[in-house]
Amino acid sequence: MSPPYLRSTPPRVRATWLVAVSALLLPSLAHAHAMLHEISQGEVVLLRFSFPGADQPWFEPYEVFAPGADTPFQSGRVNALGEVSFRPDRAGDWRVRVVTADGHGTQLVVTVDAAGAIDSVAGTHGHAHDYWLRVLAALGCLFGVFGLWALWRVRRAGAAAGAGFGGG
Amino acid sequence: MHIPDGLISPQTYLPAAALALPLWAYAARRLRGRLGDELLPRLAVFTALAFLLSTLMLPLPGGTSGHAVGVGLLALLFGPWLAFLAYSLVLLLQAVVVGAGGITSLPVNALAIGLLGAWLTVGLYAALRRFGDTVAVPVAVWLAVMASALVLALVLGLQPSIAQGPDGTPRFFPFGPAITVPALLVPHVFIGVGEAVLTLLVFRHAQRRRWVGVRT
Repeated sequence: MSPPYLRSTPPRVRATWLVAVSALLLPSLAHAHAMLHEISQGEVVLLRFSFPGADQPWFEPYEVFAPGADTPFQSGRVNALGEVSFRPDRAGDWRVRVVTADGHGTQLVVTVDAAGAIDSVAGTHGHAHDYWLRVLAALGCLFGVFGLWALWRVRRAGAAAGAGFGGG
Repeated sequence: MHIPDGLISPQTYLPAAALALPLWAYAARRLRGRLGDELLPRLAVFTALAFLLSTLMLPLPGGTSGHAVGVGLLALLFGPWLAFLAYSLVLLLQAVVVGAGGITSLPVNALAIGLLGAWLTVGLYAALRRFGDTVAVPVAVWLAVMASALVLALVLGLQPSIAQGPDGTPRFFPFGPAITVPALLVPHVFIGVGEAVLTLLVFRHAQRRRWVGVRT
């Protein structure tokens, strides 16, 4: 049973109202499927990755983990410049992991302060530009280890000879 | 080839460490028994060469790059146990000083590259020696490089099945063996050829100098 005010309205007028209301609602329903955007300003962490030499992990997958989280805050692929960027929404230690299918990769811990600025970056792989300095340092360590070993052998042999001389 | 920290799970590297520690101790005991005044500086120089080979990046077809290993040469000159020990030192320095590889992944890398690579090189060289060094050395080195790459590819490829997050996503390494095996083996086909040729050249020089004394 229709209310009295509708019973007094002619069917043509009712249909006109229905079309008018639909015309008002449809755009807003369609809008629910639109992708909107806005430009916001904020501190962005920008990291550039490279292999020893000139190569970079172009389009290799990466994951960013928020402080204390096990599921990624952001994931994607390294860009054509070898870069990963993200905008932290809280202070703490942010983990960034880049891996390649052949087993190369790195994991960095980017400590971000309350203002969103980078406090420090720690990771297994350091800066690309001092790679050869580190190779030279490692070679120095290697020869140093063997040198100390040889010295220890000589001293031990000397001590043994001295003991033998004194005893004999 | 060596795996960095953070890509393999504790379920992988802890058993590898439990296996590697006694093997390192055994290799060190064998080294003490063999060490002479001539061997020590020679071992230092060839360990340094293996280290340098593992730091030089070679451009490869497909826009990628890779590096030689050098453990085959160590194995042919000093035997597999010394090679295993010396290459473990190379991997340690790579991890601690250079920042390539890792501490948690060190046992896995040492077992796959240092131990397996060294033993396969020596074993295959012994089996193929009747064909002459020109055939035996490169084939042994190439196959050992490929075998080490295959083991590391499988270790990496199994990580998504071994360690997963609550939602089923891989916790350490995202790619399965269908991706890791070709990704590692294809570049190492070329790396292995380069390493095989280089090893043969240095091995011949070492033979002329009478430095070669393969012992197990």
